[in-house]
Amino acid sequence: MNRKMRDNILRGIIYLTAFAGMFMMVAVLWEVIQRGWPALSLEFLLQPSSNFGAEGGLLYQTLGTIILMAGAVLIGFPVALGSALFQTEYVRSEQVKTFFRAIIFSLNAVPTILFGLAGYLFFGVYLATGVSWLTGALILAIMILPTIQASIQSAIECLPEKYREVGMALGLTPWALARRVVLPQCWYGAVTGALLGLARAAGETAAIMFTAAAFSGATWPRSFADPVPTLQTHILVLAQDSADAVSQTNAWGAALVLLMIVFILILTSLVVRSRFSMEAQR
Amino acid sequence: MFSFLVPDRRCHADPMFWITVFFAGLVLLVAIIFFSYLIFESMPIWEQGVWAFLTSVEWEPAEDIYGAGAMIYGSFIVTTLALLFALPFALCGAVTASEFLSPRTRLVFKGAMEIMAGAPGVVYGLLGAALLSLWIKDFFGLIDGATLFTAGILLGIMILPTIMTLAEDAIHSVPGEYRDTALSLGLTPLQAFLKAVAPRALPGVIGAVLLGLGRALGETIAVMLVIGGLDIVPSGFDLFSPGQNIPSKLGREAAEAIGSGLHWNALLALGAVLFFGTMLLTGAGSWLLRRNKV
Amino acid sequence: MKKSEENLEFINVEITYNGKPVLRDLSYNFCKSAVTCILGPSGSGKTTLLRSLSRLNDRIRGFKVRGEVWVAGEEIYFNGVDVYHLRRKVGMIFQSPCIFPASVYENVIFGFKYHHPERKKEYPKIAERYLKEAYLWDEVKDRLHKPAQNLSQGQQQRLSIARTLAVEPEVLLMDEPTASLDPVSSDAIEKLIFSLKEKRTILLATHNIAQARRIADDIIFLYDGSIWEKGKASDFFERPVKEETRIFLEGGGSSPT
Repeated sequence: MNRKMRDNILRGIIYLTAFAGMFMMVAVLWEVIQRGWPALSLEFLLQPSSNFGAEGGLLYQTLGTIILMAGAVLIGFPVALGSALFQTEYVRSEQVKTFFRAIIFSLNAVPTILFGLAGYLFFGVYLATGVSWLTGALILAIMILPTIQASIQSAIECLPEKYREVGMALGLTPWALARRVVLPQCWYGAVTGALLGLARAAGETAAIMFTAAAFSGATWPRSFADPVPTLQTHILVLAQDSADAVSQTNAWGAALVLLMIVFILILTSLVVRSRFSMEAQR
Repeated sequence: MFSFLVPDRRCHADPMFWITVFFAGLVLLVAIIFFSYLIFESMPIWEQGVWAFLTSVEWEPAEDIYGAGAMIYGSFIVTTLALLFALPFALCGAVTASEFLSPRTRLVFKGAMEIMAGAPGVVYGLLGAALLSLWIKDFFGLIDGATLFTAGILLGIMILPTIMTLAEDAIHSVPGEYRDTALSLGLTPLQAFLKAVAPRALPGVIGAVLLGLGRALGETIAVMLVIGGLDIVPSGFDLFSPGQNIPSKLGREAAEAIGSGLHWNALLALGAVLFFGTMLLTGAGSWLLRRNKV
Repeated sequence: MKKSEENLEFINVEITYNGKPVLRDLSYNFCKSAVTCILGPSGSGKTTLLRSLSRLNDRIRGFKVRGEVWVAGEEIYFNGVDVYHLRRKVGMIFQSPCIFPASVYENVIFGFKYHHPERKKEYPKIAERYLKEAYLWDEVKDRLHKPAQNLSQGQQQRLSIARTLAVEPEVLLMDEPTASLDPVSSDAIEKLIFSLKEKRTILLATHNIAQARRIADDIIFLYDGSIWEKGKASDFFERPVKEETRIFLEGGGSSPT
C-alpha cells in the first residue's frame, strides 16, 4: 500500500514536470502567434518596409531570407551529395571513413558565429566581395553541409546490404550501383537533408549578420555583390528597440513568418522521412 | 596509392568517381582552411600566454589588453543555468513520452519536439528581449532585466526540446525485453523503468544533455539580446548582474575589430576557446549516443 | 598460360579473412553444362567459394585470395581484370530473394537495361523471354507493371533468377536458393535448374542432401574449409569414402528442408 502510494506520487511528479515543460513550449508558440498575428495581413507580406524597418511590410525581408536559404542549398547540396557518395560508395578503408566522419562532425560542431567571423574576413576583406547575398549563401552552404550530408549518409547506411550485392552480382560499376540501386531507394535522405538544410539556413542569424544582410534600405539584389535584407536580421534590429509599439508589432509579425517558414520545412522533412524510410526498409 | 578505395581501374576511369572525389576534397579543403585560419589568427594571443588570456578579466581594445575571463565565466554560468533549468523538464518529458504515452501520441509528441528544436534563435531572442527580461526585472525588482540569469533561463527554454527528443531516443532504444522482464516480475511500470531501463539508457541520456549544452554554448543571437553585454565577473556569483558570454562578445565586436591586428586576433582566440568547448561537449555527447545504440 | 574459354577452375587456392583461412588447398575443375553441388555443413566455406568466383568479396577488407581462380579463360584475381565484365559472365543467386522496390518488369530488365541501354526496343521481348525461361511468365504476365514485392517468396526467387539470366551469364552461382522457400516453390526452382544446365554451368551450394541427390551431376563435399571428397553424384552417394562424409549424409545434412 505504502509502496504503491509512493509510486503514484512519483509518477504524478514526473507527469506534472513533463506537463510544465510542454506548457512552456506551448507558451513560447502562443506568445509569438498571439503577438504576431495582428500584424499579419496581405499588405504586411507584400509591402516593402519603411522608416528603417519599423513600419511597413516584410516583402524584401522574406525574399532575402528565401534567396539566402535557396542559394545555400543549391550550393551545398551537390557538394554534400557528392562527398557522401564518395564516402559510402568508393571508400573501403574504415580509417578513411572515420577521418571523413570526424571532419564533418567538427564542421557541425562549429558555433555559427565563427562561420560569420571567418566568412566576414575571408570574403569581405580578402576577396573584397563585401557584404553580399552570395557571400551569405556560401557561408550558409558550408554551415548546412554537415546537416545535408549526415542525412544522406544515414539513409544510405540504412540500405540493406543485399540490394548492393544484387547490383554488384549483375555487374554494375560503383557509380551505376549508386545511381540505379542506392539513390532510387535512399532519395528520401537527400530530400530530408535538403529540407533540414533549408530550415537551418532560414533560422540562422549570426552567420549572416556581417556577411550578407543589410539592415535597411536594400531591396532585392541586382548583382552578386548586393546585400539583402532578411527576416532574421530584421527581427534582431527591431528586438533591440523595444520602446516603439509599432516596430514591436512588426518584429512579432516577422518572427511569426520566420517561425512558420522553418516549421513547415521541418514538418515536411519529418513526413518525408517517416513515410519513405519505412518503405525502403521493407 | 588508392588502396583505401574500392580497388579497380575501370571505376577510377569513370568521371563520376572524380566528381565525387572533387566534392569530398572540397569539404576537406574548407575544413582545413577554416581550422587553420582559427589557429593561425589566434596565435599572437596564445604567444602572449595562454593562461593569462584565459584568466584575465581585463578587455581593453584601446590599450591592446585582452583577457577572456569575463566571457568564459559568462559562458560557463549561462550554460550551467540553462542545464539546471532545462534538465528536470526535459528528463520528465522524455520518460513520459517513452514509457507512458501510446505509440501514436508519442509520435506526435516527438514530431512537435523536433520541430520546436529547430526554432530560430532570433525568435527566442525576441521573446527574451521583449518579454522574459521584463518579467524577470519586475519579478525580482531589478533595474535592468538583461542579466546572466535571463540569458540562462532563455537558453534553457531553447535547448529543452533538443535534450528532450534526444534523451527520449536514448530511453526508447533500450530493448523492450528489459521492460517486459521487469514487469513480469511484478514491478510497476515506473519501477520497471527506474530499475531496468534507466541504468541502460543513462549514457545515452547524458549524451543528449551534452549535445544540448553544445548548442547552448554556441548560441549567439538569443543570448546577445538579453545578457547585458558587460565584460565583468560579478562579485559573489551574482546571477542578476549583466554579463557577457563568448558568442555575444564576438557578435558585438566583430564589426569594429575586423582585420585590425591584435583586437581581431583576440576575438578569434575567443572563437577558438568557444570551438574547443562545443567540440568537447558535442564530441563526448555523440560518442555516448552512438555507444548507446550498439 | 591461356585456358579455354569455358574453363572454370581453382588451382591451389587459399582464401583468408584477416589472416584466418576460410578455404585452403582448393583445386577443382568444374564440369561444363552440368550442376555441381557444393555440399557441406554450415560454416564450411560454401558461400565463400561461390562468392570468390565473381569477386563479390572485394568490398570486404581483410579478404585475401591466393592461388589461381580461372573463369572463362581468365585468371580473375590478376591485376587488370575487368571485374564488372566478369560479373556479367558469372551470375549469382542469393539465399533469400532480393527484389528492388519496383515493378516486375523493371526488376527483370534491371541488369539488361544497364548493360544494353541502346537496345531499348527489345526490353519487353527480353522481359518475356527470361520470365518464360524462369517459368514465371504465366503467373505474372497480367501484372508485369505491378510492384514486385507483392509476389510470393518463391515467385520472387524465380524473378531474381530471371533478372540474372537476362544478363546472359555463362556460369550461374546459386547460394542455397531454396533455403527460404516452401516445398512447392523449391520444386519449381529445382525444375528450373534442371532446364538451365543445358546451356550453363551451374554451381549450387546447399546443405539439403535430398536436393543434391535429385539434381546434382557432380558433388564437392566441403568440410572445415577444404574439399573432403568429390566425384560423380552417383558414386558419392552410394560409396562415400570418408567417415565425416558418411556421418554428414546419415545425419541428413545440418538442416534438411
